[in-house]
Amino acid sequence: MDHREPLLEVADLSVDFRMDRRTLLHAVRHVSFQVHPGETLGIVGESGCGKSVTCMSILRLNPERRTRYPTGRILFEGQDLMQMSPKQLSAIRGSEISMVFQEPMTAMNPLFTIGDQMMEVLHIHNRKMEKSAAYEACLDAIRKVKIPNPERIMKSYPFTLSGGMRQRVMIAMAMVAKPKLLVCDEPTTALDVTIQAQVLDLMNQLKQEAGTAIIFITHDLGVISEMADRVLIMYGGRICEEAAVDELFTRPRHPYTTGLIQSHPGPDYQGKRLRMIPGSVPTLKDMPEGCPFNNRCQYATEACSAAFPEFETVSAGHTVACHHWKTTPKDE
Amino acid sequence: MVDTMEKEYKENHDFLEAEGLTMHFPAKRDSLGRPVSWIHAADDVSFRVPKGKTLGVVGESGCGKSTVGKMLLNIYRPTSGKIYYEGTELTGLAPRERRPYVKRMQLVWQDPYSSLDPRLRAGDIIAEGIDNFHLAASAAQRRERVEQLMTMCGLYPEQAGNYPHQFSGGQRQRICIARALATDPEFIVCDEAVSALDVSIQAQIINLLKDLQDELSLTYLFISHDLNIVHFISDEIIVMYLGQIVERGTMEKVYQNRAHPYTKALFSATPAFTAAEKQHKTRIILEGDVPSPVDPPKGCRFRSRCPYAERRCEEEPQWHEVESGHFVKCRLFD
Repeated sequence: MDHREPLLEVADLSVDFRMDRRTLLHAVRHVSFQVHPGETLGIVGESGCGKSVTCMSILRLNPERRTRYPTGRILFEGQDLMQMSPKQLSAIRGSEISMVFQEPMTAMNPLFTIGDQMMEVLHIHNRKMEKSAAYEACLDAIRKVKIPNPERIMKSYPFTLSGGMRQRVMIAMAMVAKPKLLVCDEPTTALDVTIQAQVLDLMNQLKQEAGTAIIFITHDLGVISEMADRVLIMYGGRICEEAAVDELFTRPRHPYTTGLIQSHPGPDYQGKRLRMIPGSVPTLKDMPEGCPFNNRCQYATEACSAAFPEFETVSAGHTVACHHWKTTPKDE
Repeated sequence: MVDTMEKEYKENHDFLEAEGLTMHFPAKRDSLGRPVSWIHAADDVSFRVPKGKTLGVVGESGCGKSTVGKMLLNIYRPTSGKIYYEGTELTGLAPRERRPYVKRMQLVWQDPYSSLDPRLRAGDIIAEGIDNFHLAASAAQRRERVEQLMTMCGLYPEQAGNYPHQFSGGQRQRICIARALATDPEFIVCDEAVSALDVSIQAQIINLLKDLQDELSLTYLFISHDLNIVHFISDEIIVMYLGQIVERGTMEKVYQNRAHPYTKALFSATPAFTAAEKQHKTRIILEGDVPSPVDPPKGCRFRSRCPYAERRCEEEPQWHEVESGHFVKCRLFD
């Protein structure tokens, strides 16, 4: 366990979305986690599990008018981001905490050149910065993500670049103000595997050079096992398991984690049937009471629909929220 | 020696054959609308699909894998090349003569959200093929057949009156599969059939496809970019790069003994999963992007990204046999 001061601490965060007068959807419920300087925290889950909403909440990027935060604190270096004014928050966005989104095409403005958009980040970060200095800093950032001919890239528009190039530019843009925390929401999902390998490799290098902490959201367990130091598994707006990456893959304790790992076709499953989780992820409206996984879980009992289980410690740094984690079969 | 092996291979694979399939799409046109440059989507693609087995097609986006699937089903008319189905040449047939083969070859699309008509009920979507080929004599028979298909694909027959938006992604993909099965096909092209689904749902659909194959002795052409899934489901595999096949063979042989530098890179780029896998794995990171298919490199198309590229690669590489039932197109094996 890391006893250093955490860089980011999310405590008991809940996020609700108001859809109309009568409906209030609980997208995220009582989520707590910490990110330490220089580490990569992976958040894994299927669509609708609340992983993106959690990360958007860190920078308060959820649609303001519809979103409510009934509980929770988000402490970044000791300051509560939830209490900040929009002005204070925008000083942090991009310069202290940056984000890389899934679809690099929609995340960039098609009407401005890469150079304009990148220099804007620096300009907001430090209004007194000379234009020439900002230009140099941008060139440097592009060089770091290994794109040849940075001068040409600065002058080009986003649509002229390929998917892999765009995602590198996004990373360069996110890193240009040297943030302490980088939040990546499915950064490689839209990319081909060989390009994904390039981008992941690059992110690992940048992390080592700059010591940036990363929150890495994905649904791909393979990617997470290569990138993350620690992993959170989310389901139905709740965290169900947290562990160091190797621990999680060798000794998963939550039935959902086990199911996820087993439903991945690996080389050793050749010719056999895949183990699968029955049913599908319920929508937020139909989320069952108690443990959200109870209607798909083969070990579910009455206790599971009565209350959400408390977090219990399996071993140092490995916690699980399941009523039956001690009795379910161990997948070694 | 390649000839004898090739002959043996042919004898086991006389179900569906593609010979020199080529598809060029016009890229730019001049002021009179005449094409001046072409997108080389597929170039001289030849393979055979073994009956009752699964042929996996892998490659990155833009490598022509979907184009090949669509050419087999006559969605695209190939620029040149021939398709044989149990010995009959399909490419030369008139539309009316081709119709019986349409019934025997079906398709499951990638995206279960856009491939279902939102204004039709699930039952009618599934029955489309039945209506089209007049496979049911009465309304009762039609209903019975739809119910049977729905049960077979793990859907509740009571839901036949629901519209697509009332189903989840996994259920929609089951509807697509039921629709494909409605005409009793022998051959199904699965074009990225599980890519848009969540991991836990993916496993359900893959298992369903495998069960159906055993039950109905179906033959699949399984197109996917996900090597883990292709490895799991396929008996044979072809690896494509920029419109051409670079390696082909039985799945286990290609997996154990990857020959082409691109195949090696592709497999190594797939994220390792368990700690054990991570340890004995060397990662090959390719430089650069896939070149544009409008003007593909002469000779070996992979040479602009290949770590072993040299002068000789500017000439067209030849097919070589690595071991029995495993072929590669690379001059490293000259």
